[in-house]
Amino acid sequence: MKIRFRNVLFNFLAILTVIAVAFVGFNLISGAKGYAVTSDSMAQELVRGDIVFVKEVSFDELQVGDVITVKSTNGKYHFTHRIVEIDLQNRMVTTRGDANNSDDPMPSEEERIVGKMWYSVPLLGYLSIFFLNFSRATGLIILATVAVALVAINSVLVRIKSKKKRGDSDE
Amino acid sequence: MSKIRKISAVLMALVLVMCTGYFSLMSTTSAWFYNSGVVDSGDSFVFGDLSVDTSFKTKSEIVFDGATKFADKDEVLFDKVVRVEEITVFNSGTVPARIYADAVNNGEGKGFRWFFFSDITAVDGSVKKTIEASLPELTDEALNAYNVGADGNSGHYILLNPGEITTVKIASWIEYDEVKDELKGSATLDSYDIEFTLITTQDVDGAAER
Repeated sequence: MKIRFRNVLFNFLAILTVIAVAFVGFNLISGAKGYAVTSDSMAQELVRGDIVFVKEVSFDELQVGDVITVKSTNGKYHFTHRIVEIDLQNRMVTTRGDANNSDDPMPSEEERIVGKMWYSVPLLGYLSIFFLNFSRATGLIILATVAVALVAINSVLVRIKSKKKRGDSDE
Repeated sequence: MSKIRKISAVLMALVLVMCTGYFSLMSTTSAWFYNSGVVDSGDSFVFGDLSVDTSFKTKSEIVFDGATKFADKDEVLFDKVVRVEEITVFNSGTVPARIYADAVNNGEGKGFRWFFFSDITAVDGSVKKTIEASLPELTDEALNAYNVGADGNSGHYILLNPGEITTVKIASWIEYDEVKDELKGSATLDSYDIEFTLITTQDVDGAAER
């Protein structure tokens, strides 16, 4: 039995697309927010290259031991650490990285808590880390180029196949 | 059948790239704390215990007296035409912090270059000597690698321990080779619209200490 390269590529692409769409769709529908982990302060729970998905929870549901993501007041930066103390009166939590020697220097207010860790996926975060080297516009250009390249490879394979067919029938 | 297959292959490629984009453009989370800057006046940046926030920014309309060449070791007038912005920085918090700098030319003026250092690392009070002592070679690549900190936290930074105060100096100049055509018709350079930024982060990621 002859395995055709194009069929293998097509099937691989199809399976990958279905998995990717299902995964992205699942996260979008569930309202989970994903963050690429860029440092090891939460090792062994989370390491660089992981993606951590968090879900919004009310402040009253939080418990000591929960891993939460906190944003800066301008929303630009985030960190993900474990709650070590909850101040119910002032609605603040004290956090700490599992691998850190001490608690984080400032408690986080309720408004800055993005959510509680739901689950994490290893390695996928490296995509985001890689694209940190580029501006958002450049990143989109790279992705668009990859899309065009994939389409081009596909059409080249189609042409080779039809040429081959034509050649066979000429003989 | 093959037409359907052809179209679906194209669609799959596009969908796959869009999914990749979803992961690629995701926000990041890290242990690094970025500090909120309290701007006391136009030239000082005092920060306390680290929260996660922004930076110190100041905008300047700079008129350069002349252009120069930083890579030219025989350029003795470099220190005369270089402009130095001085910002007093104080760490009033309880953890050591890194200070990164950034300078962006928002105008169209050509040849803008910058370099930052502190009064601790300054060599003989000379910007030129400090640059020579800080860079492995006098090239734009080496200068960019040194300055890159504000974007990627990987370039040069100034370490400030709790309770310490320092003066961060951001030197800027215009590279002669890039403006020599403009200078032919006129003896002066237009003013440059420059934005300086200082960013502080926690010095040590806990994981690294283990």
